[in-house]
This record gives sequence, C-alpha cells and structure tokens, in this order.
Amino acid sequence: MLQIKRILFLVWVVLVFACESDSNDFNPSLGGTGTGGSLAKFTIVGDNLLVLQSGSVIQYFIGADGDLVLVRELPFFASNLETIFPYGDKVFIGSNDQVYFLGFDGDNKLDLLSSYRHITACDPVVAANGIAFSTLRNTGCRFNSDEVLDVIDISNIENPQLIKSYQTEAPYGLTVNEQNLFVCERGGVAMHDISDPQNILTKGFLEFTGETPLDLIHTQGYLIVRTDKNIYNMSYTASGVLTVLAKVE
Amino acid sequence: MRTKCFLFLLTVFALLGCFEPPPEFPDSDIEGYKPIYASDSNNTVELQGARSIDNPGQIYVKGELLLINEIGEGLHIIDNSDISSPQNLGFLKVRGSENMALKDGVLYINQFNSLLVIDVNDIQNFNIIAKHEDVLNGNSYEVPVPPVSGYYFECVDPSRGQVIGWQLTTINSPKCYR
Repeated sequence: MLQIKRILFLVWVVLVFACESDSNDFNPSLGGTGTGGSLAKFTIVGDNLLVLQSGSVIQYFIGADGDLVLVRELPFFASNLETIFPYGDKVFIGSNDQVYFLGFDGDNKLDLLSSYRHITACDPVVAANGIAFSTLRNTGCRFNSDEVLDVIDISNIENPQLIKSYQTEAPYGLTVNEQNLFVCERGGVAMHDISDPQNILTKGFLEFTGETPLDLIHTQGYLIVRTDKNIYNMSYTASGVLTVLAKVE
Repeated sequence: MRTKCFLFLLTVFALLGCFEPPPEFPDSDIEGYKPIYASDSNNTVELQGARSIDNPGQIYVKGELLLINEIGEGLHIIDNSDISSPQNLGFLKVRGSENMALKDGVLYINQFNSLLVIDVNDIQNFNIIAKHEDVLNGNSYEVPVPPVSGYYFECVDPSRGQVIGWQLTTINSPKCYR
C-alpha cells in the first residue's frame, strides 16, 4: 500500500514538473520602447508615435492608456519618404534624394530642422555621437548613380556637413553603436571602425551566399540580421569576426 | 507588296484598338471585376501557434522579445533570450500588416490602412485598445483598378475603404470599364 502511494506521489511530482517545463514562462519586460531596423516606417520618440507615409509624417501623442491622439501630419514636398530613425529627441527621415532632420518645437510638435541633399538614390540613415551615416543605393532601385556611404557631421543639426563619402556596392540597411558601424552591403554584412569619421576602417565582413542581407539591429552586444529570406542572430568580436549564431525559424 | 499592305492594315487596326470608344454599359449580368475591400477580409486579430518564417519584413526588438513581420500576415513572436537558440513561440495574426512599434507593452501595428493599438503585456490575453480606421495611405496593398484591362468592373465605393484586390465574377449593371 505504502509502495503504491509512493509511486503515485512520484507520478504526481513528474506530472507537475512536466507541466511546468511545458508551459511557456517567457515573460519579457515590455516597459519602455524597443528598437526597429533602419528601414522602419514606424518609430517612437518620447511619448510620440511617428508614422512615415510616402509624402508625410503623422505624429501621434501616446496617452496614458496607450491610445493615440493625432497631433499633426507634417507634409513634405516629396513623395518618396522611405525610412524614419530616432536619434535622441531628433528624428531622421531618409528619402530618395535627401536626408531630413526633424525635431520637436516648444509645443512638442514635430518640425523640420534641416535637410541634406545628396545624389538621387535610396537611403536609410542612422547616427551616433553627432555623426550620421547614410547609405545610397541604386541597385534594384530607381536611378543610376554612385553607391556610397555618406558620413555627415550633425553636431550642428541646423547645418549638416558632409565629412566624407565612401564607395560601396549594393548597400541596404545599417546600424551603429559607439565604435562600430554595421552595413548590409556587397551581399553580406560589413563591420567598420568609425572612431575616426575621416578614416573609416573595415574590420570584418561576412558574405551571405544565396540571400541578401537587407537590414539589421544592434542590440545588447549582438546583431539581428534580416535577409530577403531569413532572420539571423549574429555575434561580432572587437577585432571584426562576424559569426552567425542561429537562424530564427 | 502584299506584306506591306497587311502591315498597314495591322497598324490601322492596332491604332483603332487604341482609340476604341468606351463600350455601352449593359443593364444586366455580365462578367467583370468586383473590388475586394480591406474591410471584407477576415481582419480578426488572433494569437495562433508558431508558424514558419516565409516572407520576413520589418523586425523589432524589445529586450528578449523579437517581433518579425510576416509581410501582410502578422507577427512572429520570438523568445530571443538565448541568442544561440531563439524560440518561435507563436503568431499574432494581423492581416495587411507591414510596420510596427512597441511602447510600455502596447503594440502599434498597421492593418492595411488602419492603425491598431493592442495591449500585449499579457500576450495570451492581448487586448485591442483601439482601431483607427483608414488613417494611413500609401501602403503596398492598395489596388485601385482591376489587374487586366478590357473588362467591366464594379466602380469603387470609397466609403467602403481601401481596395486590396479584385475578383473576376458576374457583376450586375456595371458603370465602370477599363
């Protein structure tokens, strides 16, 4: 009798533990704002959701209940707006002939601060430490022009200045941390040392065969890479060794 | 000579084809295109089991949570706490979705040209806070005219929202032609 009780108890213990490991206890902390890729069209700056349309940006205020209140729709004379990227309390918009720099006025309304005209191409833009990086691509895009990585001084955001243009091939999305710039280009992912903007050095490159990296996010010391077919987690070392850790599937 | 004459006639007919006047509009049943409105599609937002990533679009990260847009279908929900072994946990079906952002557990995502506000703090029991209808434009789903010319079609009723496709079927007394 005791034996049976003991067995039943064991079975019960096993069942309880089996249930526990089965049930999904993934409970990520969702406070604050996350990070999108450089090709994103939605972004959040402070308590504002900014939605990029082809010819305008819609600014919504996010209320305490999470719902949206329309603040304004800022129209552009262009109809080719492609990417939106938050940088502190500033916002960058990439279009196919200009980079627009925006900020919030005294009434917390989004407004245009300046723009930087470049050769006509397709261009996401990111920034770190007062320097903006924009890739200009014509591969699979509209126009025949040089494909470059532009490095732009935005320490005075009212008056952006080109520091240098670097030649590249088929660049798409990009992401940046304090020391490094990661770019989807030349059919792979490149890692560049940006400590001297006048002299950007390529530290590493990982080619992707049979697929094209399009966009990437740098987060917590690793990269999430989106290609035309798949999503990968990627690691990098300070010396520039890029490694695919896993395919998300 | 005969070939030249034939070519000339062919050219004339081809040109005539270009200037063909719009046909009479029949007051009866006829084969033609009927618009499919975004509001017709099954726009229920629901949590489904994990599915394979076939056509990835925008990506979004919040800590250990990775969201991947399956273009036009919804969001893959990925537990990325072990980056060497990400876990595909499920799929939030949002038809027509392409873009998203997240703040304080609230997801902002488009559904065709509408903007949804969804509380995902407890994803198993997500809650749609609001749906802002028809506030967006310029998404890639809009198809304002039928795909093929030479057909009657049911004129678009703008009050029914965005047209996302066309169905060849029998329509009655069409007033549009392309």
